[in-house]
Amino acid sequence: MCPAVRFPTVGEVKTQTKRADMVSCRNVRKTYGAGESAVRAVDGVSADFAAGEFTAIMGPSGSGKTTLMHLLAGLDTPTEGSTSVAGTSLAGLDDRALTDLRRDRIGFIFQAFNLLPTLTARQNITLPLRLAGRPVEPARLRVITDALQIGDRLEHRPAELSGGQQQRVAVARALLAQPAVVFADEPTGALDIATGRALLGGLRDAAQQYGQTIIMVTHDPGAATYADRVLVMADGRIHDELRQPNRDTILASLASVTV
Amino acid sequence: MTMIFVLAWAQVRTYPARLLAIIAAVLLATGFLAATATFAATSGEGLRLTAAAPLTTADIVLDVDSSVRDPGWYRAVAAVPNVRSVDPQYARTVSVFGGDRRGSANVQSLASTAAVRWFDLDHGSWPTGAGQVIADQRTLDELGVGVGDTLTFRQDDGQPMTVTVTGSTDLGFRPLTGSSFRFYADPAFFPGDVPPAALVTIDDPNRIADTIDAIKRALPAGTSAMSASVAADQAAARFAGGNTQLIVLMLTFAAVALLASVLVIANTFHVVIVQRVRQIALLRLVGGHRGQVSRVLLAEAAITGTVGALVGAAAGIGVGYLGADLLDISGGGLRVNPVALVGSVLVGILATLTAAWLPARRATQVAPVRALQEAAEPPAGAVHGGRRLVTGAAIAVIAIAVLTVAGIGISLPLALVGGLLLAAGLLIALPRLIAVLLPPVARLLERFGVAAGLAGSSLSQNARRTSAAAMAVVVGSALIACLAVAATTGRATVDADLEARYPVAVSARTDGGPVDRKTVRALAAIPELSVTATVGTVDAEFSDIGKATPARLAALPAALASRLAPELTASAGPPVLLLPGAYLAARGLSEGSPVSVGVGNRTLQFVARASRLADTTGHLLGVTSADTLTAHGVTAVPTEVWGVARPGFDRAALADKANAVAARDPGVELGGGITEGSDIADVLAILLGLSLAMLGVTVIIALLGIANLLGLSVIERTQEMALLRALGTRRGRLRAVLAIEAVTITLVGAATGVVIGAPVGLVGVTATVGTTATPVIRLPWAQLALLLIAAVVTGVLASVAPARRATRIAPAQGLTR
Repeated sequence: MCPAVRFPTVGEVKTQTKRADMVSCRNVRKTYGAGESAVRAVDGVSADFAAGEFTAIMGPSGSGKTTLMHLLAGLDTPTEGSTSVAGTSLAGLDDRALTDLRRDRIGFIFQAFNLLPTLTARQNITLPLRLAGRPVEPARLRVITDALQIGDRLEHRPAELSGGQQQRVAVARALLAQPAVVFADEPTGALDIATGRALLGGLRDAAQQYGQTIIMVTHDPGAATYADRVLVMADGRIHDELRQPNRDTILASLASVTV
Repeated sequence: MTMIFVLAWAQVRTYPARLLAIIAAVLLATGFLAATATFAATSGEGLRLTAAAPLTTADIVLDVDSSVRDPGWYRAVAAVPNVRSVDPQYARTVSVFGGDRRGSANVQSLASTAAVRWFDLDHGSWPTGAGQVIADQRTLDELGVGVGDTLTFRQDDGQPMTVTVTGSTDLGFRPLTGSSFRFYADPAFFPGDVPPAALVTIDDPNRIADTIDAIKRALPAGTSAMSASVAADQAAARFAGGNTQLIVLMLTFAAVALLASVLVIANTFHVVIVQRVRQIALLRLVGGHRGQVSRVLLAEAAITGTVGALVGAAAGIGVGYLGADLLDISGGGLRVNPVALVGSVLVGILATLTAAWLPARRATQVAPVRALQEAAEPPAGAVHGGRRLVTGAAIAVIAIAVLTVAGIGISLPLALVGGLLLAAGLLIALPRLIAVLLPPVARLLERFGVAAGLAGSSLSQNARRTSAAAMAVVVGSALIACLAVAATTGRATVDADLEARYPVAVSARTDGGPVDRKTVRALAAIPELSVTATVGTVDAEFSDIGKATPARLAALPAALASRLAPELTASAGPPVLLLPGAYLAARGLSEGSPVSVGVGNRTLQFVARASRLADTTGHLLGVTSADTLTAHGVTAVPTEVWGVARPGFDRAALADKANAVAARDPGVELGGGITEGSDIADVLAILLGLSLAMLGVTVIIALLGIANLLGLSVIERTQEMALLRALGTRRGRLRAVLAIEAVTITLVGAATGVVIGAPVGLVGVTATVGTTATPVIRLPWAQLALLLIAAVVTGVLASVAPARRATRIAPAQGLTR
């Protein structure tokens, strides 16, 4: 069992004012292959993700949700349309600029293999900052790791941590550099239900307190209830948008696209 | 930057086994370089010390040329102001007969002035009279005598004399003389000799220049004086080239080891990167630049390269010193050339970085999104197209042209240039060529069952990687084949040449008396000799042309004549006299010219024939049959024993046995083929030994490289193998698949290496010995067979660890995504 994660407010961490459109995309299309065998993974999606908003993207397998996330994060290039993160259009950015954007403005959490097995938890958490050559604030590191209850596990390597602890190390890494956006891909997929829920609580709190935008891809309706809104995708398009979702509305919406 | 190092260090520390192949490869290459450097420094210092040692105690060295006949030419120097002592230096060459050895010995005089003697005695006392000598301990050990024992010395024309060993010293090196042994004796040993040199010490070292001038004025014409330090440097310089050939040979090895290492390192890094695709992607995902990714890998290369290079350098120092010690040229103690050593380490590290460069570049192409994907397919390696094949083939063709010219023109430098060009061309072209060859090999393998078919398809699917792994084997095998072919062909050529030039393998002759019957029997008992017979000789005078030439006639008994000179046994016509071809040419005689020879008070008429038999054994001039002399009533004294060797005999064994016989009879001198050609035989034996050492190195490098390749193959084919298991493939068959893959790589590599190396070795040895003898081509079948066996064994061994990993794959892994 893992208690819910709570982030205390600390003096040096400023609460950002909500600002519209931290992440947005316009008429994004992504086609793999060509001719007869071409597959439209994402087929004309426009969406905005406000600062501090926690959005879950759901949909059946093959609905294009993961591809959409990759496009939003700049990990993949759209065939058509445009995307932007924190006011920067991703179109035309070279690899160096995209890398800097990921490093400085984006955090990632995903299902498994979040961590470099050769580094300790502390080294994993501080990796993006140190790659940027930026100083690590010890106070902030302590606040985050204590809140995630991994403060005493920092010198351990991933192999010596439980699955939940590994995911919380990944969360700590995603939050330490104060990224504007955190992308999460099935972050609770490899965790038991209680551990997963605690992690999601922590993510939601962070979004609220630090004004961080969270975009999470998930299959799990329970996980999606932590989000402020749910985008339901089908066949590469946004099929439905749910505000303040609950389990029933999510299941109903999903049922309408899977049948 | 620190983060880069932290990441690299964490990788090295966590997965040292993955990098073991790299460390081993760097270690071997750097070890070769460091060993060469240490050998050069140690042997150079040893040679220098050896050459200069006798001059170290003197201040001024005096020399005379052959015009000086006064045995006391040096005495006037004693009266020159500032001169403290003058010691004449005498030297003689004698034959020495020890307990069970004999050989030539150089006897040098010891200075009467104790301070000028350049070594101290360890045992016994200094020699005083003409009948006493001392020697270094190693000489005494080899002769099987100790302090207090006696030896027999025999000068060229003098009577045997008995000398007593009064003392021994440990010089720590073997003095460089043209002889087998060296002794030191009192000046009384050399009565009446003109000393060729003298050592002078002075009181005031600051006035050395003035003193040399004064000495020059005091000395007679034909003499010279120079400072001892200058003389020592000159003496050392004369020996400086003594180790050059070996160093060049070792450097060639180092270059080949370096090349093979670069190939293995590059392949290993490729494997490491495939294993780590997700980690690399994760690093890129959380904000690592491409440059940072490649810097992490290069930092790992630098760490492993440094470790391997340092250990290799340390090992190389030991090996280099041992090598110099084995050759008895380590007298100056271990000498390390710091610049060369640092250079070796840097070359090792640079080679690692160079080898890691391309794989590191490829790693930067890993997309960040791969960190989020479940199954990580390996990054596709860029396949270099036909341009590479064409470029390499063009260089190889040019190289072959150069080698052909070298072979025809018998030029060693050209052969070296051609060899280097060929290596470069093949390195560029061969990987593509092997990659092209793999699909047919795969089709061939399919006929040998399921396991072989699977192995073949895997090899040809990963043709580029497979050919890279095979290249390391090719490089090593080519060198081994080249050395072995060069050694055996060289040996066959030299042996054939010696057999042709010296039909008599062993001869033992006295100064005029009959050969001791015991010696005759002992020589006859040597198994390497097929026929031995005593040969009578008689003094003769060739008086028909010009002035009379004193010489000896040999009377060949029928047993030898039928074997060596059938022309002597022809019953019809006048008797035949065999003469050296050079003698006939000098006298303007031709084959069949009549010659008359005075023997005693008789004059015998012969027909001249040129024969090598006549110039084989020393001062003998003419050879005829014993029957001819008997018919003329001439009595010959049996002063010689001649032995003809069996075909394909072991030259070294025969020489040992003949020397042992001769050691027991101070009355005879040895001659014949066994006394010739041992230098080149030694070099060829070293070549053959080195080829075996190279085989060991190649096996290790290939083992590591192929094990890595198969390990990667298992990782990539986990799904496929699990599926095979799920469908009912037994573990043994999986093991067989991997073993067949590995053995195919090693065999293809070894065969390609032999095809390349053997002709190069032939051309090389032809260029080397072709100037002096007709090349006889002989292939080292035993060594080549050993190479192929080693290839099969290496392949099977390399597949063991990957096979263990493969058989642990659970069948269920094939059913999941």
